[in-house]
Amino acid sequence: MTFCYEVHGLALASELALPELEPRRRPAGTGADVHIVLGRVTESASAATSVPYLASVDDSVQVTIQGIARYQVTAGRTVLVDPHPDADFSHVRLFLLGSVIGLVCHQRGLLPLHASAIEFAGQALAFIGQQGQGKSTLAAHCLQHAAARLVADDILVVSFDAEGRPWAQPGMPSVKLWRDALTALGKTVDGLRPDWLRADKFHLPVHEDIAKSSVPLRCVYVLGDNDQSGAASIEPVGGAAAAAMLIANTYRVEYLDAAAQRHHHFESSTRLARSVSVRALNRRRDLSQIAATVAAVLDDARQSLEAAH
Amino acid sequence: MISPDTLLVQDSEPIPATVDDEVVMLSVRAGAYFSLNGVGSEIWNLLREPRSVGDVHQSLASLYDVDDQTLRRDVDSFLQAMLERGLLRIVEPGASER
Repeated sequence: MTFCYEVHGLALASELALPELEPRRRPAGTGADVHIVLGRVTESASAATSVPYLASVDDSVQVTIQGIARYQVTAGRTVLVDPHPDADFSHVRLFLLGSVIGLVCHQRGLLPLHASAIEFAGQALAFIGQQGQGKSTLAAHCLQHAAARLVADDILVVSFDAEGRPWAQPGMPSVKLWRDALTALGKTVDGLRPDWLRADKFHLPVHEDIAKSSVPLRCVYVLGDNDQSGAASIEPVGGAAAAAMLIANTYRVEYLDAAAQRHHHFESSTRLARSVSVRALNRRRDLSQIAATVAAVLDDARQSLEAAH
Repeated sequence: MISPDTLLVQDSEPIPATVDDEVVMLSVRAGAYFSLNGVGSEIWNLLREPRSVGDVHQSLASLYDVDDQTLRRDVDSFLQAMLERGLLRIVEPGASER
């Protein structure tokens, strides 16, 4: 039995059912980009990498998550999954759809950002920032706006077309939120899947409200704090600083050497810095301010879209 | 230490990219990324061909309104830092560039 899914612009054919993903929408008969198969992964004694749980073997990289699974990722095309006998399959899928898919993207030369993104007025707006800065919360609150849809949460894959323009690929159809952020959205945690590591964080499914195909990426907002009262401030970040932020906010940036893509990634992240508007968004982080922050972001996005036309 | 006569040039190991007139670099040897501000980028671009430190001082003095002593001090410490990170290298006098 093979299950077909689509995520990050990739068609997956999987022997493992992945209920977290959208079923494949592409016409049947076209080949899959990535094959996920179950089987034995023999531990490689060779080639340690700079990441303790990764090992390189020829054009494959092994990812070992103790007590959960060993994964072998080859040439961005094949993922061999060897679950630990006692592992809960939801945990096997969690690492498969997180770190392992990140490695697949790196091997394929895609640019996965640690970001959340929404579609607004036909363009994608991405949110980057340190852990806990509220990327997902801001994205989820933007979705309250009728004109916005989710593009991705946590992992945002960017690809470039033949003209070098960046496209945001739809990710997994859920948003990870803390309990208080859900409450502020008027939602309860009843029936939501708790996040594995953080008991008070939940996955809010957004199946109807997700972009169905890739969206041109126009703005990247870097989330930061503004301790003063008053409105959110939004300032352009130019040049080398913009590039540095995109590099630093690459998902699993520590995998680049194991994936042999350090140079290619540098090229694509500097290209992205040249082709999007990177903007510093400093605001008060508390949830009482979130509606004002959403309004400021959407207003800023609207203005920069108009300026670009 | 560098003197006004020291000849400097970009090292070929780091990979530079320009974004909005600013230079960002990947150096695998240093295991790091470097980003240069506007003046730093200007200096980097001047050193595409070998130039003496004194020459760099003069070029910048014609571009920026800053007193001589400050300029020399700031530029020299920047050049020294770039040398220590392997982003620039010293050209030995008389050595062929090829």
